[in-house]
Amino acid sequence: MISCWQGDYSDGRCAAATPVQLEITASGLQILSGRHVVCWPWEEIQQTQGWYEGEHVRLERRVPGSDSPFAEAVVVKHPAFLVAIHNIAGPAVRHLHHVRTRHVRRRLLPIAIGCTLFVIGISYWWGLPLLSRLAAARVPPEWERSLGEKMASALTQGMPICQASQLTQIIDDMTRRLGQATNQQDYRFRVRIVRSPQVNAAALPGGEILIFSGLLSQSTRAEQVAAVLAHEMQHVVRRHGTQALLHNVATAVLVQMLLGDASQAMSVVMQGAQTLGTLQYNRRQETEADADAFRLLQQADIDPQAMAEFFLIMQRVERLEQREALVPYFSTHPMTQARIDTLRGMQWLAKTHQPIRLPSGVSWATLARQCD
Amino acid sequence: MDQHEAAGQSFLVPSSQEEHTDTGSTEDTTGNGFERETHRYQLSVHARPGTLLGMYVVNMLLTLLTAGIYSFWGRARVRRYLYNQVELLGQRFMYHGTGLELFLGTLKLLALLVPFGALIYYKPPIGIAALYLGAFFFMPLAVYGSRRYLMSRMSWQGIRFSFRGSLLECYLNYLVGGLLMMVTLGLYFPYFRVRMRKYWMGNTWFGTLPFRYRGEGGGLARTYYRYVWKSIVVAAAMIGLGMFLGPKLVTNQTALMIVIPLAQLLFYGAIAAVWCFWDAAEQEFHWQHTTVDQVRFYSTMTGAELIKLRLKHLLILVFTLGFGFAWVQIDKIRFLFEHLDLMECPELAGVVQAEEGLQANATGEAAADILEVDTGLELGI
Repeated sequence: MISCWQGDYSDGRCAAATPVQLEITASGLQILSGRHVVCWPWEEIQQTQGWYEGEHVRLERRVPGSDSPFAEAVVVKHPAFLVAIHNIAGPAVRHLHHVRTRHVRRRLLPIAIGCTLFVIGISYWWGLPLLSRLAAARVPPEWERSLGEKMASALTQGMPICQASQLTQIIDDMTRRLGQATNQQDYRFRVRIVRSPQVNAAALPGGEILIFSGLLSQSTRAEQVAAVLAHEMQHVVRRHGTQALLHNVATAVLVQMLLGDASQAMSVVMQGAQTLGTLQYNRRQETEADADAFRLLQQADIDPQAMAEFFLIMQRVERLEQREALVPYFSTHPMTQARIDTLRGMQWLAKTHQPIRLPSGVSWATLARQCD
Repeated sequence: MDQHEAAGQSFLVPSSQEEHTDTGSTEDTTGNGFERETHRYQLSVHARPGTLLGMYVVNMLLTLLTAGIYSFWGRARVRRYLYNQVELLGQRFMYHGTGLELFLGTLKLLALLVPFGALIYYKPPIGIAALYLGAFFFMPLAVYGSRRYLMSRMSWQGIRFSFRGSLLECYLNYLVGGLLMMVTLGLYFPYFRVRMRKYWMGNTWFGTLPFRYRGEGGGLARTYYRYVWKSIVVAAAMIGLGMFLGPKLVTNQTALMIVIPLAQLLFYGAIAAVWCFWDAAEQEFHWQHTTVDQVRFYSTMTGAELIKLRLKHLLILVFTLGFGFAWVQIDKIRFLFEHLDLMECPELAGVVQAEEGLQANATGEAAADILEVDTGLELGI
């Protein structure tokens, strides 16, 4: 084993390097230049270059007790130098890189890729939803109420709110009846009717619910609107809005952690994946809300058949407006037919339900259009 | 490798001391009809995309397992690898920064952001406005801090680089430059670029050797306005072509859905292609006016090569869904250095370490990372 090598020495203060001879011993590295001999003990030596194929081997030594940021260094351009050091000095140089580990590194790479994909998958599909649920359960209801109020004000800014007293009275009565059936004290539900042709409703954290007048116009009886309210209330009670917010934030943090300095293209791909994941997450929440709303209607003694009726109306509207998602995977909600089928599969309690009382002489069709 | 014996010992001697590309050429640099031999040097890049990709994968895994904490060490590791793979005159560059520095820098920055967070919680509109204003005013500080940090952690031949510009001058440059840009509706841009380049380059040191930048805004402005004019002409031509061909091609809804995005792509692509020539011209101008000691720089990058490079990288990234990032990153660095010639080499005998400018923490670097601002290295690609 060759123990003498040619290298370049720099003192850490000047750029110019001096050619030197290096001798590897069991206790350290001897540096010979002319008649000068210096010995660096292995424990004082750090390797700062030479971990990868083709790299020069650079060893530095900081004088113990010195607070100078500059270190003396020797550079050897032959990779076999490292092999020789390990062969001669053995355990004393465990802290220096061994060329053997490069092959191990290469072999471990496919395993690392597999592990990374596995951990990403587990984190995203299981870890994040669980964390979001746990975190959302610990968010105080007053924070949610405050957030929901601000979101409602922001969303309805510039949009007219319907003040038709008869209709809002009926909606408030429905809300109270359903609210009592939820058996919870944390949320007080407040429904605002927004004058807009959109056939939609939205639940915000803390109990704020928005119903668009377009949805009211499409309904054929009050119980159908009650079904929609029940669905939105379940989003509130289950804290879906807060969970979704936390889930989105956690996903964005995960994506940013993974990407770091990576490319714009990778960033676009990850954001696309994030969006698809969010859509799937939303569909799960919608299915939960459907099932819970069905049970809530039964508890409130309102005919749950109205829910299925309303889904059929929605299906007709979607087909008319060509809004039905071409591919279910890209939809925020489960396909309407799937929702109807889910309802049909649920347990229906055979009983007579108490209809929603309307003002005498006024039909629901007339009431529902008061906000058009 | 040659092997020979002397004095009873055997040792290995490298067969070639010089590994740099050295094309000696003669040119009349004295103006007196005497020829002086000028040597041309290039930096070489030895990085391997496979190694870099492996590093990114491991970084990703460890970052996930440590809930993000390892990302700082991972970033330092990647930088160390990339710097180590760039070689000049047989010596490789080095990066001395550590993950711990980046981590502590980020912690300090987060501590500074706590008041903003509190303000956003209690008074959201004021808090958000304060955050945006803060980001705007802290941007020069972030770029300044990042530049100081990166320079102080870079070395060649064991000698550290440093940035010694003053923060006040940095703010003045950005403030004055920003105001003039607004007042001149962007016409001041080339002057601003030269001003900033003078500031960044003129205050950069290699040990005790200062970099010098002698460019003047007027020299770059003519080139800039020429490319502004060219891009206006190209844009007008594309719009005219669109108005002429549009009615012929868009005959139904399907055609509209295909033609409009394609037309947008071609429009922006054509403008981007024009500005590739500007990027190459700007780099040539800046490097031509940069010196350190007797070393002069010369950029051989052309607009056409830059277009080909960017197109190639776009296709790689698109077809690999971003996983080709490692190849693209190394290719970019290689392209830059293959098109950057150094005329003469520095006199290393007189270059010593300088401690000034090395006291830099990574808080600015963390801020620059969050704000996603250019650190002023301006490599042109």
